Amino acid sequence: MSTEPRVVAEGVSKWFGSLVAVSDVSFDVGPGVTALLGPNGAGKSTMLRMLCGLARPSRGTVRVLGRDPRADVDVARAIGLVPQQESVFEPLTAHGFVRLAATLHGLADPGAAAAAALELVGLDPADTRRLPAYSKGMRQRVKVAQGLVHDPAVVVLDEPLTGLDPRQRAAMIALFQGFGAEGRCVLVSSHVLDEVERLGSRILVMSQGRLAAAGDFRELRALMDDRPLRVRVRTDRPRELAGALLEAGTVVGARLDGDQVLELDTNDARELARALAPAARDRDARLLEVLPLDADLEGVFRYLVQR
Amino acid sequence: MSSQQEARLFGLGYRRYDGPRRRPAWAILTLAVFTLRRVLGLGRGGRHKVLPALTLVIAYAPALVSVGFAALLEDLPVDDLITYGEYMFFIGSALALFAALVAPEALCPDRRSGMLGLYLAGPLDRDRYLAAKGAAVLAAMLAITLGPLLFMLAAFVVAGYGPSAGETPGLLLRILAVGGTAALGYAAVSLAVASFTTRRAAAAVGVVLVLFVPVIAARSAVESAGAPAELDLLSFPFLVSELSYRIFDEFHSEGQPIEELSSWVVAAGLAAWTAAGALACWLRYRRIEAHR
Repeated sequence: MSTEPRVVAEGVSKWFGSLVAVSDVSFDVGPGVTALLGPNGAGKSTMLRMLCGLARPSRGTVRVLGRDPRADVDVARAIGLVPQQESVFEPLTAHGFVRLAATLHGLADPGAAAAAALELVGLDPADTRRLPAYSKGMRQRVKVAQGLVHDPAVVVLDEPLTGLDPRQRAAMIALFQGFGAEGRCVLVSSHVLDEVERLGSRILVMSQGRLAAAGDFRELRALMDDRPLRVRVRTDRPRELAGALLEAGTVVGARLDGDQVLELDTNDARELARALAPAARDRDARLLEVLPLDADLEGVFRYLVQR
Repeated sequence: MSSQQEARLFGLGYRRYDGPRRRPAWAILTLAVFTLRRVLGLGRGGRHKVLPALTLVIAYAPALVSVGFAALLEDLPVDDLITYGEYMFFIGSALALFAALVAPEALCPDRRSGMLGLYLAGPLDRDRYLAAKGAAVLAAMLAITLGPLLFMLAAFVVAGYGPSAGETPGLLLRILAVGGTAALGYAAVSLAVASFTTRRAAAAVGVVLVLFVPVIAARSAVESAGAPAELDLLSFPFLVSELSYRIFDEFHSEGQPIEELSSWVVAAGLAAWTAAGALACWLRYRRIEAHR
């Protein structure tokens, strides 16, 4: 599988009058799943619009599969967009709506392609109800079906898990992971961080119109050396263990939480990992649990957008 | 199916599409047909068909009445039949109403519902999108600018009132010229107005205002205040009917100031309206930011 970048943004800025929505953002995205994260107003939607050719960058360039998605219809056909909006597009049946997308993309048998795409997201192609009669979750799945019906090489998903129940979310996540594993470029914008974490570890974080971070979020956490890593340790002798680690300078802070729980702040997670077990052995303490507290995606995200 | 070796598991996941794909131009045709069906209410509930059907009835009524009289009254003088040239004048209101109905229905819902974003993120760029929408509105307008005239021609020929075999091709060309010019002009102007709002009702009112306010103002100024005849060039529906009279060599407005204007000036005025409408719509869509 080629790891060549499929989506490249170089020095992209976008402003509306005096409002700067995106400022000098550069990144590239290869095959697999990448999550685009950021608080409201961070510029994610504007960025996605530029990636899909819906808006022109005020400065900089956007390339999808090496070409300009706004100027090149052929590359636009290789993009599958699942939009965020919740309004119903057209008062068609689900099959009619997805078939329209398939026909526009020039598939030879749009009816069959639409039926297959709807079945893939767990909907009945023979359902005669029109989209306004569908639940929010069903409409969400119809949007996913229309975005995938033409077998796109680049899939752009804007909040694709909104409105889905846990079972459907799990199915969608598996579907997107499968796409990524097949070598497609899957770019997901989402606010649901724990589900983004299940999708994959590669993230782009936008904050205030700028790119705050790009890469594997665990590696990003390791780079945040100006912020102590918090680790929870459960042990039968927390006071003795905290004393030993503070004395050795392995941790910069320790807090007791009850009789057995100790929360440690360290600037060097590797050093703590090396020193913890010998310190426990020396103090005759039993280590019952060791758990990093803010090494998850949410911790990384919170840090990146609040710094 | 008795041996285990015959057992197979089939993947139920995503099926890749390896078949042929049509050229991007196919998307224009697809969207044009989809839009045409939508504006005519085809494949939609009954209430969506009422207004298009009513307007079509109004547009065809003069032709049907004229042909009906010709069929029923065998010795009806030809002068009593409605002429090709005056047809555009008779159905001027229906043309404006239809344009006010069709163009907003073609353009506004896409921006309001977000379909525009889906179209532009896929196989259509802005020019192709507008080409599809323009083709759909033009086809709908042709149904009432060209349809009744062709119907009259066919019916009059059958009833014996029509032109001779030698004159028919020439008349047919004139009908195509009038119908095509009128449809193109109404489509361009109404699409331009509709491109400025996402609300169908506002667009419909806007189309009616743009078509009729200049008519009232210019005609009043020319007829009552003695303003120069060139002011009539601001009256789009008036230009359409005037050009129709001239193409069919039927001069109706004896003594009217517009007689001072040559047919080329009238044609240029209509062409300017059409070009201005198309350009305004195109420029508007250059600037529109599509949402998802």
